[in-house]
Amino acid sequence: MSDRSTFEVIKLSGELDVARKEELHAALVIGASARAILLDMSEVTYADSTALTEMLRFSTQAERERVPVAIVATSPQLDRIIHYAGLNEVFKIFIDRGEALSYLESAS
Amino acid sequence: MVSGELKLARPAHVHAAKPMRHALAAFLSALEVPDVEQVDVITAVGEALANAVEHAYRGSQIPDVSLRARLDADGTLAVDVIDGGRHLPVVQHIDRGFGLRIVRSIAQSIELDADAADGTALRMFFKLSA
Repeated sequence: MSDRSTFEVIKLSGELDVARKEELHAALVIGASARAILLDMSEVTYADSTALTEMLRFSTQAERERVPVAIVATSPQLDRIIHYAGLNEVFKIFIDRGEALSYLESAS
Repeated sequence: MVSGELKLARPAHVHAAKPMRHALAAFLSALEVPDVEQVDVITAVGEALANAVEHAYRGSQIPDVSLRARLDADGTLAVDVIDGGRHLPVVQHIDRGFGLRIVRSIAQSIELDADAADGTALRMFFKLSA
Protein backbone atom coordinates (compact mmCIF):
# COMPACT_ATOMS: atom_id res chain seq x y z
CA MET A 1 0.00 0.00 0.00
CA SER A 2 1.56 3.27 -1.08
CA ASP A 3 1.63 6.38 1.04
CA ARG A 4 -0.86 8.80 -0.45
CA SER A 5 0.39 12.22 0.54
CA THR A 6 0.78 14.22 -2.66
CA PHE A 7 -1.60 16.89 -3.84
CA GLU A 8 -1.40 16.70 -7.63
CA VAL A 9 -2.33 19.22 -10.30
CA ILE A 10 -2.88 18.18 -13.90
CA LYS A 11 -3.20 21.09 -16.29
CA LEU A 12 -4.68 20.78 -19.77
CA SER A 13 -5.07 23.54 -22.32
CA GLY A 14 -6.24 24.33 -25.83
CA GLU A 15 -8.61 22.23 -27.90
CA LEU A 16 -8.96 18.66 -26.65
CA ASP A 17 -10.18 16.76 -29.65
CA VAL A 18 -9.73 13.45 -31.39
CA ALA A 19 -6.20 14.40 -32.53
CA ARG A 20 -5.04 14.57 -28.90
CA LYS A 21 -6.50 11.28 -27.71
CA GLU A 22 -3.18 9.60 -26.91
CA GLU A 23 -1.77 12.71 -25.26
CA LEU A 24 -4.85 12.91 -23.03
CA HIS A 25 -4.68 9.23 -22.20
CA ALA A 26 -1.07 9.65 -21.11
CA ALA A 27 -1.75 12.83 -19.10
CA LEU A 28 -4.76 11.59 -17.16
CA VAL A 29 -3.06 9.20 -14.78
CA ILE A 30 -3.54 8.78 -11.02
CA GLY A 31 -0.15 9.14 -9.37
CA ALA A 32 0.69 6.32 -6.94
CA SER A 33 1.15 8.83 -4.11
CA ALA A 34 -1.78 11.10 -5.03
CA ARG A 35 -3.98 12.17 -2.12
CA ALA A 36 -6.14 14.50 -4.23
CA ILE A 37 -6.04 15.76 -7.81
CA LEU A 38 -6.94 19.12 -9.25
CA LEU A 39 -7.66 18.81 -12.96
CA ASP A 40 -7.14 22.34 -14.19
CA MET A 41 -9.02 22.80 -17.48
CA SER A 42 -9.34 26.57 -17.15
CA GLU A 43 -7.37 27.06 -20.36
CA VAL A 44 -9.26 24.42 -22.33
CA THR A 45 -11.30 26.12 -25.04
CA TYR A 46 -12.90 23.07 -26.65
CA ALA A 47 -13.45 19.43 -25.83
CA ASP A 48 -15.11 16.64 -27.78
CA SER A 49 -16.37 13.24 -26.64
CA THR A 50 -12.85 11.85 -26.99
CA ALA A 51 -11.82 14.08 -24.11
CA LEU A 52 -14.97 13.29 -22.11
CA THR A 53 -14.31 9.57 -22.47
CA GLU A 54 -10.77 9.99 -21.15
CA MET A 55 -12.02 12.21 -18.32
CA LEU A 56 -14.61 9.60 -17.36
CA ARG A 57 -12.02 6.82 -17.38
CA PHE A 58 -9.75 8.95 -15.18
CA SER A 59 -12.59 9.90 -12.83
CA THR A 60 -13.75 6.30 -12.48
CA GLN A 61 -10.26 5.09 -11.69
CA ALA A 62 -9.77 7.88 -9.14
CA GLU A 63 -13.03 6.96 -7.44
CA ARG A 64 -11.97 3.34 -7.29
CA GLU A 65 -8.71 4.40 -5.66
CA ARG A 66 -10.57 6.84 -3.40
CA VAL A 67 -8.64 9.83 -4.67
CA PRO A 68 -10.90 12.91 -4.92
CA VAL A 69 -10.73 14.84 -8.20
CA ALA A 70 -11.92 18.41 -8.73
CA ILE A 71 -12.16 19.84 -12.23
CA VAL A 72 -11.77 23.55 -12.92
CA ALA A 73 -13.60 24.39 -16.13
CA THR A 74 -14.39 27.89 -17.32
CA SER A 75 -15.08 27.53 -21.06
CA PRO A 76 -18.79 27.69 -21.96
CA GLN A 77 -18.23 24.96 -24.57
CA LEU A 78 -16.69 22.60 -22.03
CA ASP A 79 -19.45 23.27 -19.53
CA ARG A 80 -22.15 22.68 -22.13
CA ILE A 81 -20.73 19.47 -23.63
CA ILE A 82 -20.35 18.00 -20.14
CA HIS A 83 -24.05 18.70 -19.56
CA TYR A 84 -25.10 17.35 -22.98
CA ALA A 85 -23.19 14.14 -22.24
CA GLY A 86 -24.95 13.88 -18.87
CA LEU A 87 -21.65 13.96 -16.99
CA ASN A 88 -22.35 17.04 -14.84
CA GLU A 89 -23.63 14.68 -12.13
CA VAL A 90 -20.49 12.56 -12.35
CA PHE A 91 -17.70 15.15 -12.37
CA LYS A 92 -17.01 17.66 -9.60
CA ILE A 93 -16.83 20.83 -11.66
CA PHE A 94 -15.80 24.23 -10.35
CA ILE A 95 -15.48 27.59 -12.09
CA ASP A 96 -13.35 28.92 -9.27
CA ARG A 97 -9.99 27.32 -8.49
CA GLY A 98 -10.24 28.30 -4.81
CA GLU A 99 -13.54 26.47 -4.43
CA ALA A 100 -12.04 23.42 -6.11
CA LEU A 101 -9.15 23.45 -3.66
CA SER A 102 -11.53 23.82 -0.70
CA TYR A 103 -13.50 20.84 -1.93
CA LEU A 104 -10.34 18.74 -2.22
CA GLU A 105 -9.20 19.79 1.26
CA SER A 106 -12.46 18.61 2.76
CA ALA A 107 -12.70 15.45 0.65
CA SER A 108 -9.18 14.11 1.02
CA MET B 1 -31.28 36.27 -40.65
CA VAL B 2 -28.90 36.34 -43.62
CA SER B 3 -28.28 33.16 -45.58
CA GLY B 4 -25.06 31.57 -46.74
CA GLU B 5 -23.31 28.37 -47.70
CA LEU B 6 -19.99 26.75 -46.81
CA LYS B 7 -18.36 23.77 -48.52
CA LEU B 8 -14.98 22.30 -47.72
CA ALA B 9 -13.16 18.98 -47.84
CA ARG B 10 -9.92 17.70 -46.38
CA PRO B 11 -8.12 14.37 -46.21
CA ALA B 12 -9.71 12.54 -43.27
CA HIS B 13 -6.76 12.72 -40.91
CA VAL B 14 -7.42 13.24 -37.18
CA HIS B 15 -5.82 16.69 -37.47
CA ALA B 16 -8.44 17.74 -40.03
CA ALA B 17 -11.24 18.14 -37.47
CA LYS B 18 -9.83 21.28 -35.83
CA PRO B 19 -9.41 23.48 -38.93
CA MET B 20 -12.81 22.35 -40.20
CA ARG B 21 -14.42 23.39 -36.90
CA HIS B 22 -12.62 26.73 -37.15
CA ALA B 23 -13.86 27.24 -40.71
CA LEU B 24 -17.42 26.52 -39.57
CA ALA B 25 -17.02 28.96 -36.67
CA ALA B 26 -15.79 31.67 -39.05
CA PHE B 27 -18.75 30.98 -41.35
CA LEU B 28 -21.22 31.26 -38.45
CA SER B 29 -19.52 34.42 -37.18
CA ALA B 30 -19.71 35.99 -40.63
CA LEU B 31 -23.44 35.30 -40.61
CA GLU B 32 -23.69 36.87 -37.14
CA VAL B 33 -24.94 33.73 -35.43
CA PRO B 34 -24.94 34.40 -31.66
CA ASP B 35 -22.03 32.95 -29.68
CA VAL B 36 -24.02 30.50 -27.59
CA GLU B 37 -25.64 29.01 -30.71
CA GLN B 38 -22.24 28.81 -32.41
CA VAL B 39 -20.85 26.89 -29.45
CA ASP B 40 -23.61 24.30 -29.66
CA VAL B 41 -23.41 23.88 -33.43
CA ILE B 42 -19.62 23.52 -33.30
CA THR B 43 -19.97 20.96 -30.50
CA ALA B 44 -22.43 18.81 -32.45
CA VAL B 45 -20.62 19.08 -35.77
CA GLY B 46 -17.31 18.50 -33.98
CA GLU B 47 -18.61 15.11 -32.87
CA ALA B 48 -19.54 14.14 -36.43
CA LEU B 49 -16.15 15.29 -37.73
CA ALA B 50 -14.28 13.45 -34.98
CA ASN B 51 -16.06 10.23 -35.79
CA ALA B 52 -15.55 10.64 -39.52
CA VAL B 53 -11.81 11.26 -39.28
CA GLU B 54 -11.09 8.76 -36.53
CA HIS B 55 -12.48 5.83 -38.46
CA ALA B 56 -11.77 6.88 -42.01
CA TYR B 57 -8.62 4.90 -42.70
CA ARG B 58 -8.99 2.10 -45.18
CA GLY B 59 -5.62 0.56 -45.91
CA SER B 60 -3.29 3.10 -47.46
CA GLN B 61 -6.07 5.22 -48.89
CA ILE B 62 -7.28 8.22 -46.93
CA PRO B 63 -10.63 9.49 -48.20
CA ASP B 64 -11.74 13.08 -47.85
CA VAL B 65 -14.11 14.21 -45.17
CA SER B 66 -16.49 16.89 -46.39
CA LEU B 67 -18.39 19.55 -44.53
CA ARG B 68 -21.29 21.41 -46.05
CA ALA B 69 -23.28 24.00 -44.17
CA ARG B 70 -26.21 26.02 -45.41
CA LEU B 71 -28.06 28.67 -43.45
CA ASP B 72 -31.43 29.68 -44.82
CA ALA B 73 -33.08 33.03 -44.23
CA ASP B 74 -35.59 31.45 -41.80
CA GLY B 75 -32.75 30.48 -39.44
CA THR B 76 -32.55 26.80 -40.40
CA LEU B 77 -28.95 25.61 -40.51
CA ALA B 78 -28.30 22.30 -42.26
CA VAL B 79 -24.85 20.76 -41.85
CA ASP B 80 -23.68 17.63 -43.65
CA VAL B 81 -20.59 15.72 -42.61
CA ILE B 82 -19.68 13.20 -45.30
CA ASP B 83 -17.01 10.65 -44.59
CA GLY B 84 -16.05 9.89 -48.20
CA GLY B 85 -15.67 6.21 -47.45
CA ARG B 86 -17.67 3.23 -48.54
CA HIS B 87 -17.87 1.46 -45.22
CA LEU B 88 -20.01 3.74 -43.15
CA PRO B 89 -17.62 4.83 -40.41
CA VAL B 90 -19.88 7.66 -39.28
CA VAL B 91 -22.82 5.33 -38.86
CA GLN B 92 -20.85 2.52 -37.32
CA HIS B 93 -19.04 4.48 -34.71
CA ILE B 94 -20.91 7.61 -33.79
CA ASP B 95 -23.14 5.71 -31.39
CA ARG B 96 -20.12 4.62 -29.39
CA GLY B 97 -19.48 6.69 -26.30
CA PHE B 98 -21.16 10.05 -25.98
CA GLY B 99 -20.99 11.29 -29.56
CA LEU B 100 -24.51 10.56 -30.73
CA ARG B 101 -26.03 11.56 -27.41
CA ILE B 102 -24.37 14.96 -27.72
CA VAL B 103 -25.44 15.43 -31.35
CA ARG B 104 -29.03 14.48 -30.55
CA SER B 105 -29.10 16.81 -27.54
CA ILE B 106 -28.17 19.79 -29.70
CA ALA B 107 -29.54 19.23 -33.22
CA GLN B 108 -33.24 19.68 -33.98
CA SER B 109 -33.10 16.54 -36.08
CA ILE B 110 -30.53 14.32 -37.76
CA GLU B 111 -30.57 12.15 -40.87
CA LEU B 112 -28.18 9.41 -41.90
CA ASP B 113 -27.67 8.71 -45.58
CA ALA B 114 -25.51 5.64 -46.07
CA ASP B 115 -25.91 5.82 -49.84
CA ALA B 116 -24.81 9.38 -50.49
CA ALA B 117 -22.84 9.61 -53.72
CA ASP B 118 -19.62 10.59 -51.96
CA GLY B 119 -19.82 8.46 -48.84
CA THR B 120 -21.94 8.26 -45.72
CA ALA B 121 -23.60 11.52 -44.80
CA LEU B 122 -24.75 12.66 -41.41
CA ARG B 123 -27.04 15.64 -41.83
CA MET B 124 -27.86 17.77 -38.83
CA PHE B 125 -30.52 20.48 -38.70
CA PHE B 126 -30.34 23.35 -36.25
CA LYS B 127 -32.98 26.02 -35.72
CA LEU B 128 -31.16 29.27 -35.02
CA SER B 129 -32.70 32.45 -33.69
CA ALA B 130 -33.71 34.41 -36.79
